[in-house]
Amino acid sequence: MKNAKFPFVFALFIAVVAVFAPLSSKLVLFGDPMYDGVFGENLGSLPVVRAGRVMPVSSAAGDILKSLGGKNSAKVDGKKVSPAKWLWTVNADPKKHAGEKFFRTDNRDLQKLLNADGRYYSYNDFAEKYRTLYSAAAGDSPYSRACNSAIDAGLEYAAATSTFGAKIDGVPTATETLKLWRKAVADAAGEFKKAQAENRPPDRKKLVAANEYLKHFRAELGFENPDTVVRTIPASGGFESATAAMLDRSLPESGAKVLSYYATIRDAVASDDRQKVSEILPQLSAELANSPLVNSFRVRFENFANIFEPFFGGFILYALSLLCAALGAVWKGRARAFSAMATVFLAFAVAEHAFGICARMYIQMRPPVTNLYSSVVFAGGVSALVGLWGRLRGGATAFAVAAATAGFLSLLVAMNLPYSGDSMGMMRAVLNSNFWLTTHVVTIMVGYCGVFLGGFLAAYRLVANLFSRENFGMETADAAKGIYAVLCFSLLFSFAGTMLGGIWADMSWGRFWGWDPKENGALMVVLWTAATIHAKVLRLCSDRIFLAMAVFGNIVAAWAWFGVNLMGVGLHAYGFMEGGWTWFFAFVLSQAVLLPLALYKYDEKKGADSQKKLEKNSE
Amino acid sequence: MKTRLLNGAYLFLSSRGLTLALLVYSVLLVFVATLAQREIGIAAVQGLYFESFFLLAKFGAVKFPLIGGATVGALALLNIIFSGLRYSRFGVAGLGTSIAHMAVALLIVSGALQYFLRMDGNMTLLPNAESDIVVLSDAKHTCHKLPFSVRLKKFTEEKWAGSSIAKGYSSEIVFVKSGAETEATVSMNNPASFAGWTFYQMSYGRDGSSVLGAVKNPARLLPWLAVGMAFFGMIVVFLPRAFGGGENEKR
Repeated sequence: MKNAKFPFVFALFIAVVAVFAPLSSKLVLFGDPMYDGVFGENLGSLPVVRAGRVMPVSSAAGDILKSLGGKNSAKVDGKKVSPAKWLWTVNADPKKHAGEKFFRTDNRDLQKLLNADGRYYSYNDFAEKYRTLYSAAAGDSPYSRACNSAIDAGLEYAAATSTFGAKIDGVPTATETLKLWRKAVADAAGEFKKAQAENRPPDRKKLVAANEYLKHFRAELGFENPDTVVRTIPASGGFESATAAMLDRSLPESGAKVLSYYATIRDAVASDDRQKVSEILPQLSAELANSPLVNSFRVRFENFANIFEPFFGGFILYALSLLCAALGAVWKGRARAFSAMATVFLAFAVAEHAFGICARMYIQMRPPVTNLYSSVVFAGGVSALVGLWGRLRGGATAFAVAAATAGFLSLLVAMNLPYSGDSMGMMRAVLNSNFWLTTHVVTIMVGYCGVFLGGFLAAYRLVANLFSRENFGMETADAAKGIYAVLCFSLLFSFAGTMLGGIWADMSWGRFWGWDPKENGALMVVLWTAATIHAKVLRLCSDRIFLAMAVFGNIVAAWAWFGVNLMGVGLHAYGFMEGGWTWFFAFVLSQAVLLPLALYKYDEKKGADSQKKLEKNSE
Repeated sequence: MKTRLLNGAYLFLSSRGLTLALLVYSVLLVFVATLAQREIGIAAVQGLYFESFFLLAKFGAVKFPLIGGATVGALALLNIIFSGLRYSRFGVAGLGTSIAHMAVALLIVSGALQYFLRMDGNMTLLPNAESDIVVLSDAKHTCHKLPFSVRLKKFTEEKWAGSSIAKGYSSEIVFVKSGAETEATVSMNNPASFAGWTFYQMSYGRDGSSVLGAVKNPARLLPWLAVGMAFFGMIVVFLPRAFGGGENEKR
């Protein structure tokens, strides 16, 4: 009893370490203060625009890396670096890094064609086979789809290498390129003016230089994809890419300045002149902060969130909590200490998870759920919060375990969802309504969380029943009562959410209900939850069958949430995923195998009799 | 004999078993219908699975008969009414339960009403041109003449700056009826109504034309009402329980 507080304090210490683990590893272990930093100016926190959203360089670079290679970090010269440093490095010397095999393709035929190392190939591999890819891209086979993605990826990379300024082959630096281009344009303009004044046709020889450059930049601009290119230069109608800004004849003074600053820093990075970078950076930063589109604090905050990585910290903490719960179950003598530690870790995990969600809301200025990724993160967070609340109010360890499992799984799934664009991207027209996103989407997600929470609690009980003896009937009845309450709560929310969706659809498409797959999925959840509740309240089944019905609710909800997206039909196909079927079926199977457990019943009377007999014999 | 039959029908239609069977079966029906959408499309599924009494489901070579959505709806309606007559209780929870179930009945009825009363189609408007023709979305694409006409003043497509992602679409339109003009704006999530018809932003053409969805639905607000009622009923049932009181479940 003396050191009852020790596990608590120890867990507190470990939890704080875990919270700051991602941040410290990024800053201390493989960070570079010039690119990565939380406070002060650095090359990773400069504001840019990608796919319509103002974000720090670190976010844009991370997105490019994820879309090309599926990873959030890169290697330069065999050393792990942050996305921001990677982007600056490939800008400084594109040719040197064109051989790095980090583009990913899962298509075997394409891997063979591109001479890939496992799944990974380089820009050079791509450029070499560009024509073959191009001719194979027409068509609708998996191979041609893979070729199309490879072409998109290659072009995205090519555009990314001139994010901070264009450099023409043969000209030593970007600054020099910019100077030559500006001089050529001025010369040509002068010649035109002169010719007009002298009433003669302009001398073609004096236009050649400008024309050559123009052709080059226009070609580059033509390959830029408006939704993936990183726009760095503030212009009159928003931000523009460096190439577009060079061709922009009405580029404002500030844009021209930023263009020059970026080119200078790019050259300084190429020649590793850190002095020069720290000299220009404040001026560039100040100039960018003047743009009316940029909210400097929000951009800095996003850069901080990228480095702090709350979801990864939360993931570690959930894992620690589960580990402690498991140790407590095995090591009975220390059960109390481990249970306390599990709760501390869970509390920190939930806090960090919640911080991550709030950070996303602030950055995006949107309700918490806007796409499949955020729905997963939000649902896990809410389930974990409800479970933690139950635990802190004196609930059983089962609550802590269910909460930690929900949080852990949600963050694991979210981190491994296939990349489908910026997870905080701009909302398409029909979704561009915070009111409906809040009322419909959030409500329905809370409903689904309840279904999963009820389902997991039921699953826990069905498995635990196998080890239950004297109190079999009572424990099952208690669990059923608790789950019944959870399901009533989820029916309320999933019904309200589904029907609010109907009203939204009536407002935007002119029909309340259209039997779209996503709508059908939500309806199935409502109907199944209603069926489960009716089965219990009308006393049509035993408590164990009720538990099994609640577990089956997990399958129905998973179908509504992910399954219908895999079908790729209908208006709600916003999170379409290829190749998610395996995971979906694995989950369905994991729940389905639990259903027969409902048939298992421990006969308490018989058990008690045999127990007595045993005792008698031993006497 | 006759009374016995009636009595039997009453007992069947008001039975708890029927309630559960209908709920479970409708989950199955919706699931099968969703799968069928891959093969025959959403519109065909709606007609075949949900607006029919009986049907023959086909998946490749596999065929099996199913009870259609119309039968399920009718049975559910009868079940709610008769079990309400048979079992409904007094008290707060009883009241809430009754309201929620009446609302579900109303939802089913409004679904049926939409089927009979609703008319929908689309209207293509060129800039500054007037039209009073709605192409209905039935199988024959019948043209329906409106008692008024609609003129498109301007169609606007807005994109998020620095991307090709659509931020919003809107059409400034004018309703013209016997010389009188009424201006309105239709945008995503914001329809405009005139003389019983409601217009939605649906699509657009490259020539600056705008395609509006046009719906005439006298029963439009019925589902809204039903949903509100059901939600209220559930709150009445669940809220007292959430705070620990109102435990009036019979033992």
